[in-house]
Amino acid sequence: MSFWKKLEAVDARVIYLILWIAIGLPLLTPLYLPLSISPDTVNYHKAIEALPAGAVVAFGMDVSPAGYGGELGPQARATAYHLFTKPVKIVFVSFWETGAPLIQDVWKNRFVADAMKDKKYGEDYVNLHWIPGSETGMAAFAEDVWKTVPADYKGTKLADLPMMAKIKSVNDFALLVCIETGTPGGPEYLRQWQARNRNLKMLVGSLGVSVPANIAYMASGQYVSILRGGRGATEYQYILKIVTPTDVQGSDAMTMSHMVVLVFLLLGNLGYLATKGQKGGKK
Amino acid sequence: MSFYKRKELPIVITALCALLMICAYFFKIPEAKSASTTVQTWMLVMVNFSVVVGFVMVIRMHKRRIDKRQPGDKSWLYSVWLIVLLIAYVLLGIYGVESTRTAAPTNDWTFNWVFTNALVALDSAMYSLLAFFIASASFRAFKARTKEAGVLLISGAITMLYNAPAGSAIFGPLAPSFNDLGDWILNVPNMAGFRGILIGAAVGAISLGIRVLTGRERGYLGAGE
Repeated sequence: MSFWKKLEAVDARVIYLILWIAIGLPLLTPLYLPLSISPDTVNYHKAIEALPAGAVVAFGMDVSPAGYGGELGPQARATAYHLFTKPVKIVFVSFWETGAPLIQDVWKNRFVADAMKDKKYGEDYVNLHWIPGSETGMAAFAEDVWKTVPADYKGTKLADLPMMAKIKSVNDFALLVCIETGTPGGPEYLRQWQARNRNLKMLVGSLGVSVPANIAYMASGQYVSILRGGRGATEYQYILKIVTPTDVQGSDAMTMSHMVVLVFLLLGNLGYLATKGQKGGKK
Repeated sequence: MSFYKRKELPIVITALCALLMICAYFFKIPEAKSASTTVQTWMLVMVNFSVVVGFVMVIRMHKRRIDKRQPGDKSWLYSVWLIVLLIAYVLLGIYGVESTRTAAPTNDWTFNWVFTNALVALDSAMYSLLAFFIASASFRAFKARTKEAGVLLISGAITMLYNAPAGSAIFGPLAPSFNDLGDWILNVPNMAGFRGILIGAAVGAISLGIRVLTGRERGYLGAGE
């Protein structure tokens, strides 16, 4: 049996082991692989920097635990940290039942918690938790915030939260940051929120796999910018200077896994070309 | 046929609700806007009730599986485990709300701990398993058997490298050119394809909406005449 045929017949468990080592290595010690900052991440950062004092920002935490655990968690934490360092009002909300509990998890991050020290709950930020109904819930919220969510996550009535006095509908928001796993997410916000408030700027934190679908909305100008998966998260953390060795480890592991997949892709195709046309080989 | 089983009534209600939403969205009629907000609030209440219905249905379905278990087949144990966890998590949520006297169970330490350290960790682990399957599949199945497959393979490899955090940086001084290439693939051929899909889906959604509005689409009413 030729080398290529032996390679083609290699057990899947060998592939899994190689990938496991490649991912495990940077998780043991950060490799500090070089990173370039993409223009989208720079624009994402600029959009938050440009917010005027007192601007109201909606923070849509529309994530699944799977997305949050990998790519979206670092994006959410970096964005929350950045927003808390600005003199703006933040309304945390989620149209995913799994996203709502994670809002409080974002606040626990040491950078975010540090930036929140000077902020007062109810005056600078609120957590409206989960709104059921998916896209219909978004529409209802956009029309009438108070009717849709009578109280915050602690059960405090909106009337008792001073910053909510001026927030009645989607027209009162200057910016929407949507950290999204899927549906409902960016496109649903476009239909239900931006269609009602044409001045609403949108920033989207997206999974790497959803980036190709989101590009069309950025080119049309409906999204100001997007964070592209784990790469976008790490770039943003570098810009904000809040990157930790753990973040670098995650980013390095992600790069290594991509590299291994590419190497296998190359080897698989070389094997295919080498055995193509051989007797008993590929046709 | 019984009045309650007739399909005309749900069709009329659907059409009226749809017309109300359309009027509220496209015309500045305050009464329509107010009525549509009320209907949307009803919908949110109904969604909450549907969670209870879903809970009961899942338990019924898995109870049936347990009842019909075959000798030698141990898969019914998964159904038992699911029911146990489902009930335990609901009880934990109720306890969370009651113990903290707040609106959300996430204010309770126990509920939060289980959510973050069990659900988030397990769900992330499940998702990350994809990396192993993709690595194996890329080696065995993703072959340039035709010219079209070759184009897909090359563009896929470039996009993958472009999306990796340190992917483009390995090209050193050529990194900006590689980024430009990655941008071009995403912004030109990819976007053209996605726009086609989006426009097609939007046209499909509009025609489906018209069919529902006019009572021609009855799939949502359930099976049978």
